[in-house]
Amino acid sequence: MTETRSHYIPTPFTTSSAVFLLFLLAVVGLAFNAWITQLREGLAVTGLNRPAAWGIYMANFVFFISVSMSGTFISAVIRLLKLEWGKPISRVAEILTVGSLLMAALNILFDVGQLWRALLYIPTYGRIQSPVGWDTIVLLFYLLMSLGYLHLSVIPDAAVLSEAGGRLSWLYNLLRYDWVGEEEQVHLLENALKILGVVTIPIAIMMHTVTGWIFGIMKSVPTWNDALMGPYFIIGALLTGLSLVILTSAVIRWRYHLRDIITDYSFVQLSKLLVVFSLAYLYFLMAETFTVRYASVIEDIQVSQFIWLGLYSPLTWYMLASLVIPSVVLLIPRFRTYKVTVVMAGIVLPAMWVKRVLIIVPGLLNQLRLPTVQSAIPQYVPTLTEASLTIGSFAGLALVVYVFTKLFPPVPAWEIWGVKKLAESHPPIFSLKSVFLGWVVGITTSTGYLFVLVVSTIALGSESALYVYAVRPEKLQILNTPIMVNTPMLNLLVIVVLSGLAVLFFRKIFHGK
Amino acid sequence: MVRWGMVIDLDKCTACQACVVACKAENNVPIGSEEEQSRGRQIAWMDLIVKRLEDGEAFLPRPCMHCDRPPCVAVCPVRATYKRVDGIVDQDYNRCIGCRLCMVACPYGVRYFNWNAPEWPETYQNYLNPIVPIRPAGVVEKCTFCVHRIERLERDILLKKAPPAVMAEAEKASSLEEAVSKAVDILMKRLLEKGDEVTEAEDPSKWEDFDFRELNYLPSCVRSCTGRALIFGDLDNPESVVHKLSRSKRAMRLFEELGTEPKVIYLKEAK
Ligand code: SF4
Ligand code: SF4
Repeated sequence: MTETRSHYIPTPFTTSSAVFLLFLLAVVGLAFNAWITQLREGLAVTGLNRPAAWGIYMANFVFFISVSMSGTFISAVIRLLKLEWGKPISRVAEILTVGSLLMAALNILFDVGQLWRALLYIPTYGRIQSPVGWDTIVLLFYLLMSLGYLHLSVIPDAAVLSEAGGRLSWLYNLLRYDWVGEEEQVHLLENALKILGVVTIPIAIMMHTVTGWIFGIMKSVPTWNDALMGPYFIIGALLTGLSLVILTSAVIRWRYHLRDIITDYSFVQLSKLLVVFSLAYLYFLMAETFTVRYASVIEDIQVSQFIWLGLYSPLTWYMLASLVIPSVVLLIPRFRTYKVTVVMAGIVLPAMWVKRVLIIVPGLLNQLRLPTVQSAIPQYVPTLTEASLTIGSFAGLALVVYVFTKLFPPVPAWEIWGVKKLAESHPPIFSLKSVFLGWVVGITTSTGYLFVLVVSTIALGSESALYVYAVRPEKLQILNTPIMVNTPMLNLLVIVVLSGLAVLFFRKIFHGK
Repeated sequence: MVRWGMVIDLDKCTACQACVVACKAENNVPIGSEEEQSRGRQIAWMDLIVKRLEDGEAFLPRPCMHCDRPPCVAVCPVRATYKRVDGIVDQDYNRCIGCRLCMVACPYGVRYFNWNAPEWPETYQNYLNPIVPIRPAGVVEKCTFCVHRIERLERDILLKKAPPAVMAEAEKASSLEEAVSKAVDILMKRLLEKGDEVTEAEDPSKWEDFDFRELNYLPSCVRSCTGRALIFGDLDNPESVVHKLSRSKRAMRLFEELGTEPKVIYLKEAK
């Protein structure tokens, strides 16, 4: 027992970890300072300007969104396909999702000109027809799902930790409910995770497609208005997420001495996925480039020239090389080892960030088909503020992951060493069953609800694009009718309330018995 | 139904930039430092686009097109920009969250973001237009077809304080909309017919029967155009100048292939 327990209990807080923590906090603090400056002085402190209205904040947003694909999606797939080798990395993947979604939301907030209005008005006046409206719904929904998923999968470990006592046992106690590791409970937990996994996958796909559509629907910007955008972003997200999962798992394996748990074999399997995704991404890149260049629409070809031969060509060729190298190297079975995989993931990840910039900035720089008289040559150079907020958000992600691994086991201990039978310590507030069923029912119902709502608003609602554009174009001005019904936050509220009600409902049922 | 639109006769445009300046003065557009301008952050609701061609240059005065199917309105997450019943795409500065989605969505690049809080030199402070709100940092702004002037005309017609020639027609109209539409057309015709005559007259006594303030109901750029190249009015009123000119053989609209249905119509003789 003591030996296994040592796996559960996170490594002690040593000087080196304190130094690392302080370092991360310092970086985040600097970024926070930069944000305060930006809030005080306005977006003038950034390098943004008129043709380049979006810059690296938007690139970061898209990047962090794509990192979030790693987590709950990959871990749900691992669970549903019962991939044994994937189990040790699933915890890392889940926490990465939660952290990166938080950072994505923050980066959007860095980008808006009126922060307080954004926080206040999107909930109250949000329009579902706007890409930001969709994105808010899906992002919060995905965050909720990922938190729920992480929460459930942490319960058995929290129970063991709460038995061990310590200063934080109140936290673990809160999270364990009445978990004692009975067979029935394990069965319930696994089923709940499976159902959540099934629901998560469409949500994740929706999330990344919608992010792609932010760009895909912009007919004004050459090369953006592309039906490929949704799938393109999904593959990009899979690739980005996977490489960050590989890198983070490698770091965790090194720092927490988990060589025997996160085995080389896991990395070999991951490297196969990596090669598949990067080949798929190259395929999409090729499909995009060749159609644009063959069709040679004047504006599109201008952007394409700019990317491949113009000012941004070094970045593009670097990005291409960083995708080709892993695809070639990892195709050779002999190279599919732990070390090579980690190096290749390290090559892919920065290239994917660069690719995000390459999607956003060149199109915008060439967007103005109408040049302006006074303005200088369209250009975009990020400033120190933007750089420090970018670095800060990466540090923030690292901080979330780091603090989490200091509080909970970095691998799902209960899945690897088996579930421990425990004595119940405190009578819990909610029974496990009610919590599980609450989550599952709440989230499933609200997904259905959201789906019906979105589809019906788009297809039938008087404000819908379809109605306005196709049936009665002159009705476009009545965009203010039933705002509350279309409000993303209201929908989220409904989701949360539904989940809560379901918890209470099941609690009643099970206590009644 | 009124559908405000503008006709820009490129064959008459002299590229004098009077419209650009008049717009800035009328709408309290911040001037911005030189450094900001060189970074591509100047604001010009009405801008003069210069296109270099092989044989010289082409000029294009460019206000907001007030599209009938505005992509900027479709993407706004909080309905800070919206299409009015009279077709003007207006901007709610108090609602805008500064996400710049509309800037990216507008194919004509007519939307401007306030990167800094607006600033004017000391001497300008007393000359700001009190009717037009001053925009804070972090919101998007753009040409409004001088909507405040049209609204003032509406108000004056209702209060019967409009110029006599306008009131005579307005009295006959069945609705306020019709009255405003007719009024603008009368003023426009007056500007086209008499404006040149008066301003070019050597003898100041000729100016007497002409009240320049009357014409201030028209958009500032139209009012100030030296070549009389800008013409404003109701596109749906078959009697109006803009309606007739918009049917001209020389008429064209920018980027029609995008399906935005712009309401600014350019006139240009084919080469
Ligand atoms: S020109 Fe641009 S800003 Fe004006 S209505 Fe059209 S899309 Fe909107
Ligand atoms: S910048 Fe303002 S007007 Fe433009 S889309 Fe965002 S909220 Fe709407």
